[in-house]
Amino acid sequence: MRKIWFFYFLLCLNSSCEPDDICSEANPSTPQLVFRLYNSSQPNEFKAVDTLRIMSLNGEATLEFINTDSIALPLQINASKMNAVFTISNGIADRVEIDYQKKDIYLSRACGFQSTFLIHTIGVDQPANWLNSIVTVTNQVIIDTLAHVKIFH
Amino acid sequence: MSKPIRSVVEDRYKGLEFTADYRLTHTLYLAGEVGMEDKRVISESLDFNTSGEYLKLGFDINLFRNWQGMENQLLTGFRLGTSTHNHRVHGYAVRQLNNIWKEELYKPLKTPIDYNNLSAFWFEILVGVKAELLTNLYMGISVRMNYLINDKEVDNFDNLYIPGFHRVSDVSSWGAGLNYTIMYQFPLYRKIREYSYIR
Repeated sequence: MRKIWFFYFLLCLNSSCEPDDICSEANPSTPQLVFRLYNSSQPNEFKAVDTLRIMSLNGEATLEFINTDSIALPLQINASKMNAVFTISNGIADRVEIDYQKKDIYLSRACGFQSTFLIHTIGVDQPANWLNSIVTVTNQVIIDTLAHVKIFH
Repeated sequence: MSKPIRSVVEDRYKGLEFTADYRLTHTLYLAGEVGMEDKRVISESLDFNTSGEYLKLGFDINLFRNWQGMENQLLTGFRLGTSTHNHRVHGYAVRQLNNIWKEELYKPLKTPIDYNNLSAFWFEILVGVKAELLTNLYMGISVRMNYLINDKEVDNFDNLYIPGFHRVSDVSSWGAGLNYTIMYQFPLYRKIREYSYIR
């Protein structure tokens, strides 16, 4: 008899407090589109930019990167096409158009869903000013720990 | 009694349960519940509805030694439970840590997404008391621990709520329940039937 109650006591301990109501920073989120910058004359070498500003066409928001060869661009989750202007130092700018398809994937009770993307095309307005070419490494944007796109400049 | 109370008090909840037990020996009862639940869960990240039916079967053991003629119970027992249910997602939030474009991240769905023909299978252990209020009329309360054995996987969603099992945790197979019952004993057949409402 005493053993039975001890068993129930253990069960109660087991079930206390479940932290699945909280979505923490460590949980997955919607992946960003990751670009790596390469040297167009030495295609195997990274080439950093001093400053790079990415602005949406309506100028609502700007992302700024300083002295880096790796940039991450959040894709718009309520659109299937994005236009952004990539500007480096001295105001040299190129307009980039990204066409993609979005799919929402369930994460968890607390975190809801995330968007994942399938990239159709990434194009640069010609003639390009500083972006020599863009190569898509993978068109599936599901995680953002690896690069999806190579930029040669 | 808790289920109609809860149906009235709690918004977006409907539930009903019928339970019965049958005495096999002085201490051992065959026991079961059948019921339905319809629950809508709205949070910052999700808005969904779960509805379905469930059936539980098992045994109760009376640990209480009654005086002659008394029928009170201090009981423990177990159940195997199974459900058939559906989920309907009305809206969800997309998790976007870097919301630089200042987009609306919550998406109400004009056409809800349905996930139908789902099922689950679980084990319950319970402790409870039952007391005779009037002749042949009993009132009981039991606390239950549920362990989810198996549930049919949902494509791009999850069984966050299961009728009869209640809330399902993302991180543990354990759940819990509380049950208030009112039951009537049919003395001719030495059979007890109860109408109850589960919380």
